[in-house]
Amino acid sequence: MERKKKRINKKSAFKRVAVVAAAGLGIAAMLLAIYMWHLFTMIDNRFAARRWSLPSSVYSDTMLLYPGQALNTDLFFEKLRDLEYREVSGQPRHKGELRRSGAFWDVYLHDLVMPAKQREGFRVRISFQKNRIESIVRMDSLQQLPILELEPEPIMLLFGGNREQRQLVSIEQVPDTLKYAVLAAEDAGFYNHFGVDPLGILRALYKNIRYGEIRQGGSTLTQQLAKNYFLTPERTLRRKFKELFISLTLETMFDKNEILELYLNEIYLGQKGSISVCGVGEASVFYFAKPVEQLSLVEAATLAGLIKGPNRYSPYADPARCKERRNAVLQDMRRNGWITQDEQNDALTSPVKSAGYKTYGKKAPYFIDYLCAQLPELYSPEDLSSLGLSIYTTLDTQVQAAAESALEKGLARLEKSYPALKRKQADQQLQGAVIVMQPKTGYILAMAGGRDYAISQFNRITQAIRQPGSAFKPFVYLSALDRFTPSSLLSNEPKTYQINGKPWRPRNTHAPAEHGLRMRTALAKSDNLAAVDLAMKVGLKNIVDTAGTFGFSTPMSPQPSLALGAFEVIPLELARAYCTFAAEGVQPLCLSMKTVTDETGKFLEQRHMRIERIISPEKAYIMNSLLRSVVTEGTASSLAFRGIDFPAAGKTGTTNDYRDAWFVGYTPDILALVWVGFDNGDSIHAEGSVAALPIWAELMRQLPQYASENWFRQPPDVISRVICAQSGALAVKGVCPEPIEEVFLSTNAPVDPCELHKAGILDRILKGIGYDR
Amino acid sequence: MTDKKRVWLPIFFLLIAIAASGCARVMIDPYARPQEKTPPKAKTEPAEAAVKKTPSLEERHKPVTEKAPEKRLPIEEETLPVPKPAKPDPRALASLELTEQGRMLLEQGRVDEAMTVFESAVNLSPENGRNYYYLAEAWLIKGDLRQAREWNRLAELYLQGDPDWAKRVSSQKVKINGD
Repeated sequence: MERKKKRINKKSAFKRVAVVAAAGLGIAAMLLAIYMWHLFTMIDNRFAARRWSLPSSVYSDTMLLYPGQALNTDLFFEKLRDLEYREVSGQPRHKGELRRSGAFWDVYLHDLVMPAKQREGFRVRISFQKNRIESIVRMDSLQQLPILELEPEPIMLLFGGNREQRQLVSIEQVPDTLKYAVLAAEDAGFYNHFGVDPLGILRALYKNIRYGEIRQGGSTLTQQLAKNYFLTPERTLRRKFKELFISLTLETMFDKNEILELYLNEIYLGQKGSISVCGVGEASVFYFAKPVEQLSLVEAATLAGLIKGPNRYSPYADPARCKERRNAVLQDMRRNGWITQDEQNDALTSPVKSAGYKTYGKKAPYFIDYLCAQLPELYSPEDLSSLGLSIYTTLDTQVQAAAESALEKGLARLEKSYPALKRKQADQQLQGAVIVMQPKTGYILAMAGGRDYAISQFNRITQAIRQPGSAFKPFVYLSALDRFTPSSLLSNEPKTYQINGKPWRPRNTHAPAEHGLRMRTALAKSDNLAAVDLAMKVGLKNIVDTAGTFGFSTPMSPQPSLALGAFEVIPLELARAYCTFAAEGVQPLCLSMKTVTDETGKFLEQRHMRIERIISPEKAYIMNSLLRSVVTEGTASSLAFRGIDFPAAGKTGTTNDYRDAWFVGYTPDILALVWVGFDNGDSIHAEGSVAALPIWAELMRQLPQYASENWFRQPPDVISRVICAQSGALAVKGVCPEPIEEVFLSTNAPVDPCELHKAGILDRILKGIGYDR
Repeated sequence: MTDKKRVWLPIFFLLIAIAASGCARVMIDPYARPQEKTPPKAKTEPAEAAVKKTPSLEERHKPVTEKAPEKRLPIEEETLPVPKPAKPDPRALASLELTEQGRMLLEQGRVDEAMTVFESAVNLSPENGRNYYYLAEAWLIKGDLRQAREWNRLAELYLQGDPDWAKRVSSQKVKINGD
């Protein structure tokens, strides 16, 4: 009885254990299933939304080439290099190759991929003759091209917190050699396992022991992907389990090629300054300056070898170690039968050749800041750093380079000539700023908001407010054009005025020889007394109103010192105001951003140039004529000795105690403003013509494509008359000693003859009977 | 009256009369000069003449017949050697090429793209009045009459010397102001 009881107890105990065990297993299975479901959802969400954070790219404007164009060939070559064209010795056979051969350059163009504009790359021959393009011939059809557009240059990537740069590639784009190289280096059995490869682990263990080094990790590509993509870098058992389960889930969700594609786009392959180079697409450009499709066997093996230790095996860090690792990969490829013996032999002996790289430096940083300041209205910082937007701008990288170089050279030259301008502390140094625009379209071609962005990010073009000095005078003269003409005589007698109850006596730095100046001469020589006299006659309130119509947003009050530019302005607004003259009376909207597209190329934003009529074309023409005299016979006449032999107009500006030096110069094609000064208002002991003007000249000399004989079209309501230079009235022929041609608005052209030099009675009689002496 | 006086008196009066008429004429119009109409600058004309030589543009352009105005030269000018035409401005030629590209885009209804092309064309050659004409057209299509008016005004300034284009600009002006 007791034995039977014992047997029954044993059986029920066993049953209980079995039930508990089954229940436990069931619960465990359910928990596992829930966990797997959680992983599945997490992976699915990660890929469904957006696989990676793609930084947004900012691009310069395209570059246009045409026959007859004047070019600085050295700068042009630099531009092509910046566009990732690499020089080859033979005929260019791949896109992105270029050959220079004496008077002609053969270029295999990249594909042009822009919003609404796609063009397959083709070979061209550009022939030069003395720094001018003679012809552009398309080599496949021998067609002469009247114009050629080069792709825009990426100038900036807008990153988020994780500064990763990658160019996504599809598995079809990846050449087989690279696939095999990666498998050989990391996971030879990739296509055979289920996410984890126990045999692979044993194999790796054996290899590592055999070679006495960690030659191969036991992790499969799937495990590496799980680790890099979803998990933080910890080395715990718990993390290892998580990695295992994610790998298994990945293998059930995706096929082998999809996993390989994810892996090849994810893998960390090096460092470019502060930015991580991720994915084979980016790495092939970074190391070999070519797209992934064009990688050779040797290059593919090099990249695959980097995976284990990108900085350790980098060809830039240690070419010898790089070669050793590369050769180990090649041997593994041979062992797996993926390359032939000959291929291996050739590759093993090849030298390590890499493209060389420029650390990611900021191009046109002040311009980018100005652009970015406009972007938050449209896009949040998260959007910018993750949506892979493409932002196409108006920046011309050649003009930008010329502006930065002219500014730096000019400031250094000033410090050398005037040692008192040198400062020990970098952030207190002599400063300057340049902005270059196309006056009609409002395109900002270049912007240098300071001498060195690394020292000071303060943008002196858009953020500074400085007194314009004499650079403001044109707005006074413009206000006067209804009642006064270029030949009107202005008084330059010393006078005392009242400002806020205190006496103010304007002075000239250089006292003119003559008393009483014609308006043209007064502006050309920048006579202060004449300017103030004119301002008082025109009405100070009118001048303040005029300034308002020109878009000056800074406060100005109707004081006599307004005529001498005592009220501060923002340099960008001053440049835009001068654009009105150069654009024949219309003021353009300042344009820096043209188009924004998403990563598929869909248009998100498009901005076009807009103009607003501020003054009549006739008044603009008169102003351009007056400001041309500043260059031909006035304070900017030294331009002729600085290599500026084409028609230009402009105005120098100098403020009280020489705190600011300005020159704003323009042609119908281009306008540039230069400012020099100290941020703290110290004197620079030099006038606009000495400090700022040479920088403008240096800038323009570097841009031969903008030098031309073009000038403004004279409107029908602007008429020419010959006047007496001394009286300003109509010249009496044969009597007035200095007759000169002058332009007038048809509404107030002079009609009275010169009273100063009246004709004698005999002359009048003879003239009456038709005899001109 | 003596005989001498009889002879010299009329001569004296005649001289006075001539002097008086001479003075009167000078006093009325001291600087008589024909009203000057400044001829339009010849800049774009040679460029456009050179453009006609380029076959590709000729094929695609609607031929704009520019007849030189009938002019009878004074005899001395006829014997002078014919001056060589000014060298065509490469920027102007390139700009015209873009103008044509923009025009075709406009015809296809791709207004925004056309405007981007015209902007590049203006950057290349602000003297090219046809760009302003087409920009005015583009703004008209977009419905912004204010912008259309401004660009039309610029077109008017630059195409005043070209009778065919001036006519088109006037019609455009009527269309803008009439709407």
